[in-house]
Amino acid sequence: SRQMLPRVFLSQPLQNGVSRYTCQLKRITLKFCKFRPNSLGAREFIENGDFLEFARANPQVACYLKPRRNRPPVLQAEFANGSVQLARIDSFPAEFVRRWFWLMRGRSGDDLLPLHENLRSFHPSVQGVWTPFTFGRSVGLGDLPDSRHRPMSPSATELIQQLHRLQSARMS
Amino acid sequence: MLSRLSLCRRHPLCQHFAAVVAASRRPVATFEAAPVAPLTPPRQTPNVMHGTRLATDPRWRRRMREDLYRRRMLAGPEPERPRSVWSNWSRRAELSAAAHRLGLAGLAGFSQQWLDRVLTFRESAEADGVTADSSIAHQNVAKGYELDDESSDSVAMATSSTPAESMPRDNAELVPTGRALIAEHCGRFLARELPHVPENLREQAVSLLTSDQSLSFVAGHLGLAELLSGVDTRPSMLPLSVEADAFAALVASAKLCCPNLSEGDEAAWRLTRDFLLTRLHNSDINEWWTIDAQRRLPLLSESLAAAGFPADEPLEFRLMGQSAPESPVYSCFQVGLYIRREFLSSGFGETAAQAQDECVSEALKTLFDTADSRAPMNFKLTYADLASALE
Repeated sequence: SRQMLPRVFLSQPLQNGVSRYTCQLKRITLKFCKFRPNSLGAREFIENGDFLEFARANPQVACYLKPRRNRPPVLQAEFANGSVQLARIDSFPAEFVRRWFWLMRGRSGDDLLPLHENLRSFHPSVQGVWTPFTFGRSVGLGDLPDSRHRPMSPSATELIQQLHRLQSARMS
Repeated sequence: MLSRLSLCRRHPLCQHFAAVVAASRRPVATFEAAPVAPLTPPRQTPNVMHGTRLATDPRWRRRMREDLYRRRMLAGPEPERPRSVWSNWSRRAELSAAAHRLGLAGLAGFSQQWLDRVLTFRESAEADGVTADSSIAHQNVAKGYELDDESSDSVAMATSSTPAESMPRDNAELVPTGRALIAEHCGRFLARELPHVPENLREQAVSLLTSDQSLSFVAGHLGLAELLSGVDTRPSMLPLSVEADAFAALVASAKLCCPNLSEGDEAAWRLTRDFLLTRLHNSDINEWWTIDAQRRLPLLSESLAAAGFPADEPLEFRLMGQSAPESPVYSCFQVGLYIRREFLSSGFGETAAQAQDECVSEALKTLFDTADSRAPMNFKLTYADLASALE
């Protein structure tokens, strides 16, 4: 939610995709135990040939296997921007492990944070952003006296003019 | 005698004892031997346990956790190590992956050995200790796990047509070639995309683009920093210039390894275009150079003269809009620049003078064609297009 996590703007490392797309996953390590039951999915993933299939389909990713005794299985993905993401695949079926592999392949390595917006543009306005002066309005310019300004009390000139009008009316 | 003191864990002597024990027991995989000084006075650990008490833990476990934490803090931070010392590292695999990631695996003359040499720096090829494939890898070899020959690689790279004898031993000659090539590429690209911008401003942009900081940023994001050999690849010890040189060497190698000249030119150009020049995308191109405040009006006059307006035509600054009298809070002035009674640009500011300055900047942007409304840069240019545009 907005209060707990900071929001970020949509971005790609090194403007990935503007002229060429580079897979941001550099290396992926599958750490598993050869004996414990929570690594069963990981072991099946390897034995079914899915690991080799992933490695062959993604020559740009260095794939490692790291058997570790008495430790839960973990997927460690290292990305081009230097970040490392760990996926705990404790007791996952082999299909889920496979999906995590392919998910990491598509990630950029940026932290998973909420976005301000699902799109970002550095030129959001095509015709120009509206300003109060866009359509020629100007508030502070003008000649005085302005007929729109009504004085609170008549000026000396106006008083004399008023007197003259009354006198003329009385005379005629 | 010591047993009574050791019951009281807060005693400084006991804490010191605990630190010494921790340092001696824990197998610290130091990259270089960290000097352990057992006679230093005990440090005051900061109170980092505040708010970390688990109510569900029994008291003995809480105290054990706190004690372990305190010992860990006393032992100090983990030493910084390069990525290659961990066991999940194979230089052969990493170079192969890097070649595919950079799109160089398909080139005719490219091979893993070539990439290895490209990322090898001369100086400490003789000096020791800091190369990849550390003792752990040697242990793996001894156990028979490591298969470090290309013949077993199922994802084989193109075999190199360059014989091993003619391959350079390191990248010392590639670096200056690469730097020159990158500068040439950037200069040509900006000349093509920004033809109306004066050359000294384009040169400022090129020098920013090809600076060590910029190139090392690119090299880091391509994963080259970890693959260097002959230098200390720990992030705190690796200077920016070395990373920049690695990228330059890579660009030069892409050009030189191909027997076909045009293919090599294209490959090197694509590396520069796709990784370095795309830094200009989604950025205000005017931020890549600086024009002094005193220089703006003269530059404007020169640009107008170049655009075809005679030098004696006066520049008219007209007040187009004003929202309030000049005050520090509400005022907004809009000043327009007219030449030959034609509108050129407008600018906003808190005072009329500021608005006028802004107006001049906007006019320069219009004349240089670097306004926000300009067409985006073409990052799909091929090397042939680039070369032909300038002929």
